[in-house]
Amino acid sequence: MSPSSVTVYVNGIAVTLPGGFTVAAAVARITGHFRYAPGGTPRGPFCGMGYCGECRLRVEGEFRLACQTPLSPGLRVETDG
Amino acid sequence: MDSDLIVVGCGIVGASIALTAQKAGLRTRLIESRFPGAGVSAAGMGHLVALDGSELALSARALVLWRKILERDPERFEYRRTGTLWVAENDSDLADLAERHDRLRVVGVPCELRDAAGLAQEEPALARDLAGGLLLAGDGIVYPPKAVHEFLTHAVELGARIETGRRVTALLSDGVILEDERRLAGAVVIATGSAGSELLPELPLIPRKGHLVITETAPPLIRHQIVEAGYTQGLDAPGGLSIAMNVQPRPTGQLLIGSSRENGISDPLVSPDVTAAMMRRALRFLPGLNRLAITRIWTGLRPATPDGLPYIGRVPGRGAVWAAFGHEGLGITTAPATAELLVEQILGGRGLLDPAPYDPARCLQ
Amino acid sequence: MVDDFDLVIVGAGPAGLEAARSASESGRRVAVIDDNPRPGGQIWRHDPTERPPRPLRQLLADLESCEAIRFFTGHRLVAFESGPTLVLESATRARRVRGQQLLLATGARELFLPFPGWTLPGVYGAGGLQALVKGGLPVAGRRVVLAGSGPLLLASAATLLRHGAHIEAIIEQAPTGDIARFLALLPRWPFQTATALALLRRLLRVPYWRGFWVAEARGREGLTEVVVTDGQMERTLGCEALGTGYGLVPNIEAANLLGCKLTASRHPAVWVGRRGETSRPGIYAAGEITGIGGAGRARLQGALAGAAALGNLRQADRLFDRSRHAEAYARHLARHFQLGEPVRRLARPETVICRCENAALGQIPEIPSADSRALRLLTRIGMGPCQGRICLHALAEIRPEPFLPDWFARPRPPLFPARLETLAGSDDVTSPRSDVRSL
Repeated sequence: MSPSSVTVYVNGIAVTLPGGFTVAAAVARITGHFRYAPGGTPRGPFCGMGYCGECRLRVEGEFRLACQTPLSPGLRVETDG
Repeated sequence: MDSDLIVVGCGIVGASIALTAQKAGLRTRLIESRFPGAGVSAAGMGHLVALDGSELALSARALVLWRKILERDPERFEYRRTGTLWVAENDSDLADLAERHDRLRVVGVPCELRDAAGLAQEEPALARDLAGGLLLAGDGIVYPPKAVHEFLTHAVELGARIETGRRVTALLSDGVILEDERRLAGAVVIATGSAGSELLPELPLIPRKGHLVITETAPPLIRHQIVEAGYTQGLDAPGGLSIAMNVQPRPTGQLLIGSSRENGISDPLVSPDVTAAMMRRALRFLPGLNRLAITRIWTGLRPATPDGLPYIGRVPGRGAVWAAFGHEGLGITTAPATAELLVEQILGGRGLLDPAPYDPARCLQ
Repeated sequence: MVDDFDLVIVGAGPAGLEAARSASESGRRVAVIDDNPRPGGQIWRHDPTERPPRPLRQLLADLESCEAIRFFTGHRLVAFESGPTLVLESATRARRVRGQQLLLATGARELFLPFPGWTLPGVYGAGGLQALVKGGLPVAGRRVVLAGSGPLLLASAATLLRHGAHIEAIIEQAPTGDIARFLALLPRWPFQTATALALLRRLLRVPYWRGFWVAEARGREGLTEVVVTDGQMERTLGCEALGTGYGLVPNIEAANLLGCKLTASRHPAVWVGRRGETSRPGIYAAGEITGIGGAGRARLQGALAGAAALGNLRQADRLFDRSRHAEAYARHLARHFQLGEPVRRLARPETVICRCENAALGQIPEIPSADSRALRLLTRIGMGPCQGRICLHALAEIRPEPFLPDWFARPRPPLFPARLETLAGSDDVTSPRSDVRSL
């Protein structure tokens, strides 16, 4: 099974990955810091199942959970820095 | 162990009274059935606002007291001087705001009118078809649970005592009986908010249910607390529902969205229909809210009196029993003035405010 | 606009899918809702680099041929309206569905016990890391430690190994004796035995430390090493990723919001009767939400409740006896992976407990109270986006009080952060079919 590849942009940087992967997978290739908690400490994905909110960042300008969002071609992702 | 004053209920009003009484040299004891601030105090928006109309005198005095309280360490109350921006949907609303402006100016509350362009300048996120607004720059917000905690901590430092998780089962003319059958002697203040008429059934109290909605943390959308001009209208319809937009930027970066009023409803469950209507009303004024995530919705019961003014004063025929409840949606703002007014009366003195409008005797049934 | 169904199933894991198959035999209209992009739940989470597990393939094949079943994947249940109507949200829009009967199969999540450094990027849930890796999180050539308690550590390790990770060690807090006793009686449950053997075969070369735990995770901007201890000796293991989890807790929130009765335990489950019925009429529950017992038990319960919900009581009762045997496995699991005292004492005053609000243990006052509300109001713990799903369970382990029945008081809606326009229910929210994925 080799799904066709998808290119997305994480903080403006192009990342190409197999389809079927998540936004979290793409961001992790650029940075481990997905958002900053109150107080400014960096956070990355944690629960992996969409409830902890630690991987929340902007996808196409809107807050989404990176771990629950499948990649689609051309998606623009900004970490919540 | 006797006390000079037994305060039943440790919400913002009870804690404020305990602090003021203790400062005045009264040995004070607080009795709280759940935990401090568990009731209507925790449910509210925490605004410090000058409302005109019958509540003006009390809220104006309270804002003076709040300024003193907040001088010391505003962060402990999570205070923000957001101001209140009253917004007018149309010219008739704007005319109302102009009248309000004049009334507030008379009692020394600073405020300024804004036309449509001025309004857009104050808050670019507001809908573009609004007529104008009235800015009360001195208004602000606190976080009520912290405010209760601060007043209580201060009172306890000064020697007040508190018992939590303890219910008062009977009210005497010179004390109370607790659920563990202990009898406490002293003058009594009933400051139990929405539960006020449980111990004092002769004072009518109407629960006025409200819903609140809070968003996730997000980049700032607005700077002021924003309230629609019609906020204080249409509240008297019995059994009726009234929705009015009121949105606050919280220090956490969240937006707190109100408001609803339902007369005579004491069921605490969240009504999806009411909250949907509230959110649609908020969207009418702030269309940019649409994609923000809501993280929590809750309800509270405002303790409303028949004439909209709180009961502050001695309860006729009850001996040394005093009332301090019925503040509806303005308890956070008016708590310090309530405490001042009540403790003055208990000590037999006379202060700045005329106690007559708040005398419980006016509503005795 | 509301879509009406005879049965709405929330959760497309083993319990939810079995319930759907069982219900499909009736030919009535069934909806299955899941917030993940694909069915399978956590245990059968989709991995694009691998064929789906056989039981999932079989279930999906059976369901695919069934016209009356509609899948709403990528849709999260966020709120209830009267009826109850279920308010769903996808990445782009809202929908509303209503069922004559409702079956909750919302599964479980991990129990986390806070320790210094657990908020560092690079520290994940154990199952969380497994899920992220299936979603493409890169681990090839990286050093990984898995730590905590329970069989999930092994399952996660096996997935990571297959994706090229170097597993430094699996750190299990339960002592060797408990693990041995767990394994000794395992053959009573052939399905679990086969799973365990398959896992252990794949993990032959991975060190499995029993009676140890991770006391601290270290690193500046991200994880670089963990401190492992048995309470006496300490060892430092260099690693780029740590997966940690101390077992599972039921996802009770939807049931709790609907007022379903919960069990009186430290981490409550939804109470169900012998036909999967909850205390609320027309609402059923199946799988991990009713108690942690693994996929085998979840499938049986799902099949049972799915049949019962549509009135096939004979079928439900036939399954009941088998489900009792699976129930015994749940007890067996709980008994031998009991959490020891030391892992509850790892947090220091400055250790964050509530990740959402960044609130540390030392900021949480020792207020004696019958519910968690006093603490939540004062410190905001549990009031962030996760709504206490992590910290309230951690505190239920950490705090000195005995278990308080009101600790998990009825939650505030919405169930998950939801867009204002979704809850505002504006009429322009339509429900185009393109939003519904077919299998």
